[in-house]
Amino acid sequence: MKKGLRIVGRSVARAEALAKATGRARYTSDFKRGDMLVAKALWAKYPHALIKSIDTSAAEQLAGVAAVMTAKDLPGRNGYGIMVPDKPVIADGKTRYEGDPVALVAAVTEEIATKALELIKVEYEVLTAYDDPREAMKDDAVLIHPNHPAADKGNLLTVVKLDRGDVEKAFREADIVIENYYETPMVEHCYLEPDICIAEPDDLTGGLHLICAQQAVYATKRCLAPVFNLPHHKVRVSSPIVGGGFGGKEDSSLDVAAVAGVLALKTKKTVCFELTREEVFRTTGKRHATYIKHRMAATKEGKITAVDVETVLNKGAYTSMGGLREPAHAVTMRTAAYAAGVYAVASAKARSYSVFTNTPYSCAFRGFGVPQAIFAVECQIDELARRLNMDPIELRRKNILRDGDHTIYGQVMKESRGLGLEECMDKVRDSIGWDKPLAQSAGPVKRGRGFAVFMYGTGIPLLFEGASCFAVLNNDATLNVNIASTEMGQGVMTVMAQMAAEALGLNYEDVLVSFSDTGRAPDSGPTVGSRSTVMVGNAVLDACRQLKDRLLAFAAKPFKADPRDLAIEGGKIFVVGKPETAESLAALIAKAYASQVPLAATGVWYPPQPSFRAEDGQGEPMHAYAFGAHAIEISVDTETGVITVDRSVFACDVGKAINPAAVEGQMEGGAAQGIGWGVMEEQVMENGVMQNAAFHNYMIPTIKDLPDLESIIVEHPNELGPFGSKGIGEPPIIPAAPAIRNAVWDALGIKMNAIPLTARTVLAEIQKNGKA
Amino acid sequence: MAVDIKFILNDKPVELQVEAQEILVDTLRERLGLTGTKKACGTGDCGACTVLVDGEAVRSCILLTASVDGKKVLTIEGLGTVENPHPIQQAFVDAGAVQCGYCTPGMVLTAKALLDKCPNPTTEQIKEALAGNLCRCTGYTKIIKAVKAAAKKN
Amino acid sequence: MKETLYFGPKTLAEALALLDKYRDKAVIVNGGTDIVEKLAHRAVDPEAIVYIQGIPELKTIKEEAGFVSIGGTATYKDVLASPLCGKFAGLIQSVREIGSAPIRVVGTPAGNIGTAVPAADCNVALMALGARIVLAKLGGERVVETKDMFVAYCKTQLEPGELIKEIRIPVTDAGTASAFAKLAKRKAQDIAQVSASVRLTAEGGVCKDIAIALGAVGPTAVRVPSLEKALVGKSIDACLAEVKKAVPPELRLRNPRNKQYKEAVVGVLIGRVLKAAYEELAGGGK
Repeated sequence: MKKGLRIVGRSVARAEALAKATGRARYTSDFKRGDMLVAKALWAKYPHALIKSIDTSAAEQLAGVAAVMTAKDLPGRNGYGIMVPDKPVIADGKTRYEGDPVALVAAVTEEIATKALELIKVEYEVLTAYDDPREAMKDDAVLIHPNHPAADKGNLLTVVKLDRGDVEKAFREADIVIENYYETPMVEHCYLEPDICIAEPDDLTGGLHLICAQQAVYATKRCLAPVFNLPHHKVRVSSPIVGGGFGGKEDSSLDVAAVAGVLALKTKKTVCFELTREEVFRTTGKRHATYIKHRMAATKEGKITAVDVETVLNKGAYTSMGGLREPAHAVTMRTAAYAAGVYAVASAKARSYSVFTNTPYSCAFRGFGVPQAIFAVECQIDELARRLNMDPIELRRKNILRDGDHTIYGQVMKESRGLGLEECMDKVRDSIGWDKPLAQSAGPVKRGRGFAVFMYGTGIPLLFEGASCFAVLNNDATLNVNIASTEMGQGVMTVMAQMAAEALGLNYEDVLVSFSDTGRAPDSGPTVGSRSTVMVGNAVLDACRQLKDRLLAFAAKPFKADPRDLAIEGGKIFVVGKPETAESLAALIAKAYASQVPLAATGVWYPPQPSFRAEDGQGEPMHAYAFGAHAIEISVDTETGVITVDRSVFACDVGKAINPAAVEGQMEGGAAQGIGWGVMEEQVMENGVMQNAAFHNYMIPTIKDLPDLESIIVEHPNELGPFGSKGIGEPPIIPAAPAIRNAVWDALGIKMNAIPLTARTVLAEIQKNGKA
Repeated sequence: MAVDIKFILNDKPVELQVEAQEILVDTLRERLGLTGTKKACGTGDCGACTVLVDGEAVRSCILLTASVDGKKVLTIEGLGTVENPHPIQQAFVDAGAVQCGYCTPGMVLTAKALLDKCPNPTTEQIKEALAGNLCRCTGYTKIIKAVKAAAKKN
Repeated sequence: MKETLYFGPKTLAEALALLDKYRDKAVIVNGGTDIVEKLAHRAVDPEAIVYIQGIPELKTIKEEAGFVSIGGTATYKDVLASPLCGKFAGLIQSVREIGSAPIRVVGTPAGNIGTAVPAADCNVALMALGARIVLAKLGGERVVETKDMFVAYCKTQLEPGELIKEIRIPVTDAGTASAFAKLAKRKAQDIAQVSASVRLTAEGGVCKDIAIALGAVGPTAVRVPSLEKALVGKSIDACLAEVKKAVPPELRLRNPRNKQYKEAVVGVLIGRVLKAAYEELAGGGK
């Protein structure tokens, strides 16, 4: 690791935090103006139906209505999607979930737009709506996408396959086999800022500017240009700061931008489309619900020898992050790849089935399917420990991937990329007092402690991997760094500025990071997959290195020194070891400017080319992994089933914490979401209709539902990461749910394999087991 | 019918004509340009739209604007500025309690209402006061630290 | 579209005159925690909004003639701050469980009764306490027992032109105590899955009189006379044993998703409030 860092590794205050805390920071919704048209969508009345007729004439006549659009009125392709353009802007002849728009309206006020929707008459022929992929994949199920390129497989979109070693033999020879069926629910991201897009026709260029809260401005441009029938260079996409994304605003942003965009083109006016909270719940993407059959083979000494895993994923109504080219399905692929979790297992077979249903489409959500896969594995290994009467942490220690080991997809683990799992486990073990039994009271409340671990590969292999940025040195020795990544609370502005200042020898305050605007920055890739610190950070370092090299080469002559003997620090340039030679960097830059030294640079970085074979799921998809261990203590009221999370101790190996407070923020927020996923969150669907589309019946944790979340940062550097870093945005959500489930088993002696562990389900199990 | 109302907004008198059903959060954001008050649910469930009315934290998304006639309203803009932040705002920044920031104005104002009445709150009192404000980013741990730090500074 | 009128009467008489004029075309806004959301989204579109929080005479909490009476516009916060209301542990416990602090600042017990959600915490406590509700209209008043107030899901005896003027809770002596508890899906700001409240009069460890009310077990909050009758005259220990597994016939649960759960915990919850009330008695009223 680099020594003597000045700015990297410090918890400098967030660049934008004070503007947020004083209410001055402007989000997309804060750019609304009274003269914009207001867009509203008429959503599908029936989640799965044929549209027999639509009559919009009365709505069109209403005073104040600027446009009413149905599928026949669109300017370009009626389809978009990150991987496959199968989601219509406006449903054409068929609805597939309750979030399909059937018609769109733009009007001068929201009230008129709402009134206009009421005047639209639609006739439907209702079809069977599927909530459960296991039902939808049956042979006699009604086809949700009869004309889909994958329609020959029924409602099955794809199967990702992974095969390694001789699984049959391993199970035949196993001393012990653990087999279970696990279920994880569909959940909503619950970012607080509802989705919104302001679409502005650009009369100067004939193009369109989409101002839209989102995580991937370039993807939005690529996906939607054909919808608008515009060449890519005339579609500008920008995002002000974003009020939370968690993966959701990689997709839902397309939904709102498509609607606002087509209405803006139609009316030639600026149009704003903002979802209500209920619409966010009913129409935007969700975490894939999964149904996992997991078999694990082991020796009596506790060595895991094989896994055999079948995962069914609820794809929902549209492909989203899935693809047609197998195995390029971000989430499905990971459920197979992580089927053995963090363990070195010689033989593995995994099949992951992604199936269309009539629920909202499943998309990216913090962890891309890894939380689901790890949930099953971490429950399995806990059962193995019980069966072998071994300490669950020691059993894990026996099996974890170490330097030189292969994952079940054939990736070789390298110490040089940072393998800090064991240190995480030990630190959590010590901190929570694992060896000291929990005190139990005489009443109905029982206490328990559970443990779980994870690993998570940095980045998004198989989709697009790499990043670029612009950096511009100004004559006053300040630096602009322009990236296309999104600032959604994770702190990308801050950590990029820290890294750039460190690399160029500038003060932190002298670097300004602009973000998420295709008009200002080259493609940095989407702000997903825990990739920005590493991928975009390396691109920023690349740009800074170029600028520094040019400055030092230029300075060599006046300083009469070899460029390698020159250094820049705190706005001064000097000969190393001779502080008396120091000169103002601004003065040097002014001279360089006058001497035709280019002061702008494009930074780029690409990780090693990822691979993952479609035939057997073998390859090297990831370049580095974050790791973590989580111990949780809970109490269960055995008379009511109510679970209380009493304590949470969490350690993560992040390679290098560029900003430790920001890392802790990710860990604490991830732990909170993981606890929510484990004990209360669940999108309840009935025949394609959501039953709990509000914050008073879709539960997320309040401040009273969480204990003090204890975080421990572990740093095993990644040789390819900037300053040794690895991605830590998503993974903290992963281990809480299995840790809670293992704690419930510890408290009650009851095994529960379906989350969320609500009071209702816990009490039912207690009664079934006669332990009330 | 337009209703004529007068109230004190961020220490300044305001006179407005409002509609009977007009909601305070919309009046603040859309008519008065005070966009620091956030609207995240519109159903009174999340606390992002919290403002102080006569010193009490209330939800502006379920409050008729007409009903603040004669009262004192404080929004996040009236508490402090970037140049001269209120100690609670500074404490949120220093503690790393601000992530996406959408809950932050509501959290800060709710914390102010608490600290005005209870200058040295316990963790339990902080939790009780902030239990109606949802945050999806932080897990609340640093928010509690921020409120404690702000209390100490007072 | 016809514009809605807004009135902010300063006296009860003014308010009653307005309600008499607009009858069922008027909507009363008290704390507004339920109705304003509906007004905002135009789910309710009245001719007139009558905002009653500006009526000082309805804001008082006082004791007279054997009753503590809570004015129609007194908020939950007012109740929590009132030493008179502090005598009713069940009431205070229920109000503490309502929503969150910003809801309790504006929300009112009277409004809660008017909305008549079956899970409403305060209504269940008031029902167990045997509270009476005074309904005023132009030229008259009537008094309704809380247990008779709720006629169907979110529907009360309140008629057009009427307003909840006050809630009267009978004052009890040292031999009587009350308690409230609820189960919810999370630890704050959540609607009850099941709630229970009791008012218990006991002597020498024996139940002399008991009122039990339940919330969220049917379309309205309900009293549980079947259990009440069975418990009078029994020792508290016997009562606790009897209620624990009880599934009273007053439950009217439809949704199969939570029926089994509610049936399983309702007795546990009754037992807990019974125990809490008894412990308060045994502890000398505190």
